[in-house]
Amino acid sequence: MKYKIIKINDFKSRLRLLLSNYEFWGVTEKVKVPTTGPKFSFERINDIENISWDYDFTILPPKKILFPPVQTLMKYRENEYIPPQKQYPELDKNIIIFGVHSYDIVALNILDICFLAENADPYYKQKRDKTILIGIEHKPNEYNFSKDMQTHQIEKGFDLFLYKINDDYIIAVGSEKGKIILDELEVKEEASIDQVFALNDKRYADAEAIPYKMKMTNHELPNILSNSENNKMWEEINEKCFSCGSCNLVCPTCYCFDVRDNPDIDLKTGFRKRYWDGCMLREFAIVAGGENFRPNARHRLMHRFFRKGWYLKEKLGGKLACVGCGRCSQTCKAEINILDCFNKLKEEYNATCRIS
Amino acid sequence: MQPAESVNYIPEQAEILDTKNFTENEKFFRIRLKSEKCLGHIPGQFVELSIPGIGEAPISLCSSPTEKDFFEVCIRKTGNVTNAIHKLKTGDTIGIRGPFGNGFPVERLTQKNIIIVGGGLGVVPLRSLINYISDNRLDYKNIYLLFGTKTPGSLLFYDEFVKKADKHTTYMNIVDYPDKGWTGRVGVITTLIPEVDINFREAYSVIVGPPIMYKFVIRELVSYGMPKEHIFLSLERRMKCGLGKCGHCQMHNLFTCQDGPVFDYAQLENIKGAI
Repeated sequence: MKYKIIKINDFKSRLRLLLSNYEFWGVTEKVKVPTTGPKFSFERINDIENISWDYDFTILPPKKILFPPVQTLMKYRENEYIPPQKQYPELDKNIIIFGVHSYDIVALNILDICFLAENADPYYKQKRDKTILIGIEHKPNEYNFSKDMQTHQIEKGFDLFLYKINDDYIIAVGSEKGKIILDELEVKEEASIDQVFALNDKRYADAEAIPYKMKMTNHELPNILSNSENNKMWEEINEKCFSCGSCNLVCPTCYCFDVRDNPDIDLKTGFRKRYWDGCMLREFAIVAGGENFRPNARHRLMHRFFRKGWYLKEKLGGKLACVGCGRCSQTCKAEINILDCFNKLKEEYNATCRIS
Repeated sequence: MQPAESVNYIPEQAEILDTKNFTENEKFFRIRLKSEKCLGHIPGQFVELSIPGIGEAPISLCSSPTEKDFFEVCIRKTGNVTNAIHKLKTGDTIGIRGPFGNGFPVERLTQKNIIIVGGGLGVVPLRSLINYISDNRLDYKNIYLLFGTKTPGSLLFYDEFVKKADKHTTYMNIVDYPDKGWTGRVGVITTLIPEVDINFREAYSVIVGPPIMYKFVIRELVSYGMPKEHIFLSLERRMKCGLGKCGHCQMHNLFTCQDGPVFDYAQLENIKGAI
């Protein structure tokens, strides 16, 4: 890994250079909430002044940029289906997603596997190939358990990663694409070995200062979940859950979708689009005959939690799909906290082990 | 955009060559790709049929891949897409993606005695296997076709299957609710299984039907000694994309549209909610 160094103020002023040549996304304050502080969002940035450099998490994860909530798959005319390339021949600009936290970078790496490893999804691929991820450090808020999910600090998966040391940014260069951006910004000075060592010491101290919140390692989670089927906790959260699907929307690794046609008024032409869908919604698993394979909130909660902490492990090469961002816990109207649920299951598991 | 060749959401155009109304709700279609390419499916696979402005639906193929010039489907009216498909006539165009899924294990069934159990509309995907076996008859041993439906009127492909009955092919059917002219068996499909006189330990079974049927048929087959990994079933799920992406058909780590729809019972036994 190469590291470059630049004064923070210089970096901020040079960042403007990227705004016109790229589709530039950054984090900005979306709404002020008097009781809990502002809420943040990834938005298109036209003015560097609007960037929030210190935020807890964004309402929606950056998946919304690569996998938009509504995306046109094709246009149709009578019986002809026309792929987007023929509708919009001009190429869009490259995309920069600036100020991404480590857990969201891991989440995008997970989406990369889900969308691209087999049957590469052409729509995701088109955007992903053109995307440059620039990460920044974060301090976990009360919901975040990224340290437990080993996503709090990362060494790969980004193109650039910014570390703040006094008045400088030390910038880790994670890819050739990242290097090109630094060239464009004329960030030339290499960080010295002493500076990189000092950075590593600081990162270590930062990580040490954060408490573990999960009562087990993340490696234990699949086993805990697979033994939890008869746990009464499922019944408790079944009673609470509204099946609203908010947790699906804000999850950085939820990517299920529905496909629907949007006819024009002539009923001959229209667009086929995909929309974010959620496994917590009642109708998600219903088939033509009316059979619902996950009829109760309990079944759907189990499916979602298991998908995050167990089912996708093999597909993701041993990683879990939950990155510990805590968005679902924060957004849940029924106050179902995924971390508390995991901990409760672990406690019960220990209790049963002691009895037997 | 350059869509990867391996996957595409864009349907191909196909022409309807022939249609037949089987019942009030079930209609049969013979279809050919306009490119005149052979679909090249495996029995038990499915396609996504598309009607512009309405949408797509996963539909089982019911013809054998030995028919190379066309493929066939039999569709029950249940939703928007299937209702729209029912309105199509010979010569009309339909969109198609696929084939998708793993299909029936035709290789593993080679030189085996096979009990094929179909409940209701389950007979439709099974027809692709039954016709495939007929066309490669020397590759398979004794075949038992056991079909159950609610009423005699909903027995599909009866004339076709009954013709196949011979020394090595047994056809049996049963209905829940007989009508006046019905002289055949009445009752549940599991009552046909004791009539099959073969060594269940060596035999294989392929089952397609409503979820409730699986439980009872499997229990019966296992009680006669059939190993769990000899019992194959095709699962119905909401397969929206067919590409293992959209998530609707996921159960545990399995995507029904890609890893299935055909599974052996040993694979599913410990998966809650699978059957």
